[in-house]
Amino acid sequence: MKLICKLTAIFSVLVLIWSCETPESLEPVSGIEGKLFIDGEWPDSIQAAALIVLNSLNPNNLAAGIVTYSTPMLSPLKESEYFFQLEPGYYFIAGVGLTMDPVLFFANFDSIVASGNLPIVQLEKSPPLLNIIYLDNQQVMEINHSIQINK
Amino acid sequence: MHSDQHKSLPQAQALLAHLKSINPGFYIETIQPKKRWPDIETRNSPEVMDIIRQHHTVSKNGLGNDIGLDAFVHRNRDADLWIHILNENKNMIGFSINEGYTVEKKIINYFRVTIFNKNIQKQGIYPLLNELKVAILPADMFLVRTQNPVVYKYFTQMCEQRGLMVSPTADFINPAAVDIARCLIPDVDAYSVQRSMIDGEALVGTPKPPEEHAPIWERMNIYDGDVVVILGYPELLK
Repeated sequence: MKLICKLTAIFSVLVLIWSCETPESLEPVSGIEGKLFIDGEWPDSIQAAALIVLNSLNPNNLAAGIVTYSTPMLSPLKESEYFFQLEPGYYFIAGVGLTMDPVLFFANFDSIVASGNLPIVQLEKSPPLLNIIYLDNQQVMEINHSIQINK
Repeated sequence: MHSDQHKSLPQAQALLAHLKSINPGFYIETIQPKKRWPDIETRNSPEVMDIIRQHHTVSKNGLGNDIGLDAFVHRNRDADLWIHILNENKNMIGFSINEGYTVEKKIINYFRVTIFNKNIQKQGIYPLLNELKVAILPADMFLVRTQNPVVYKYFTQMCEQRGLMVSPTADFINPAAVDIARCLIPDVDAYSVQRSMIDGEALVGTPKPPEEHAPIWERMNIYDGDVVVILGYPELLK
């Protein structure tokens, strides 16, 4: 009887060990990374700049297609790094300026987005030349993006 | 499918009936140039050049503007389908040029050119002609570039009737659609506009867009030769 109990216990432990999932790898994600540069002088009205990723473009309402945004770069910095994790697919990338304090903006992000009145202005000198990217499954693309501020 | 078989298509019958209601002497011919002249790209065929000259003649009448014979030689280089509207004297009074492409395993029917003589414009021919182009060259996606809001209206209508999405609209531009358009027209910008494609306004007195489509026209300057590139695509385009 003791033997049966011991065997049962050993067998249970083995089953338990075998049933535990062993991670095989840190699976890579899709996304884009790189550096964001400011080319030109910061306008007085802009408190921070960021890259936004859009899954569709409405030139009169950028907020409509925003998927995600980078950590804002504060004035007067000229360079920062970013990383976006994204689903595979097509995206526009645009440089934008925040016209309010970024801390207040992100603290109230949901209500500001709900109001539809985003304190965001497009900073690209040639908006029609916005980058379009296609991300494949588990692809991380490196893009260094310069925002040429209108002078 | 031969030209005679095209004529039995319901879309051809509908177009022909409409043309005959305008003038009983009008008729259509359809030609698939690469099938009729397999060596069309390497051989200078007088017959082909004569047809291209007729395209040019119709364009001068229809546009009120001469964009040059070379423009039609260029636009016919990859033509897969010509549809000609002829009058009772066998003179060409309207025509269209379509090209077929495969991009990312999807077939695209590119509506390259459609021009009618002035006297048959605004008579409801364009949407019926579009139906015939699509019946002869079926495709997963449709592409056209234009300065003309009337083309936008009927092209988008045709796409929507087939359950296709359209980009651009007044408030929506799909990056995937722009990317596909760039496979055929590399310099299309993020607003789905090809800048300075022609020398100014193609059609003298281009109609103004209706209010709901005006934002699309505000993103370009047709007097600088800009054209909007429109794609009809399946919803699940990836």
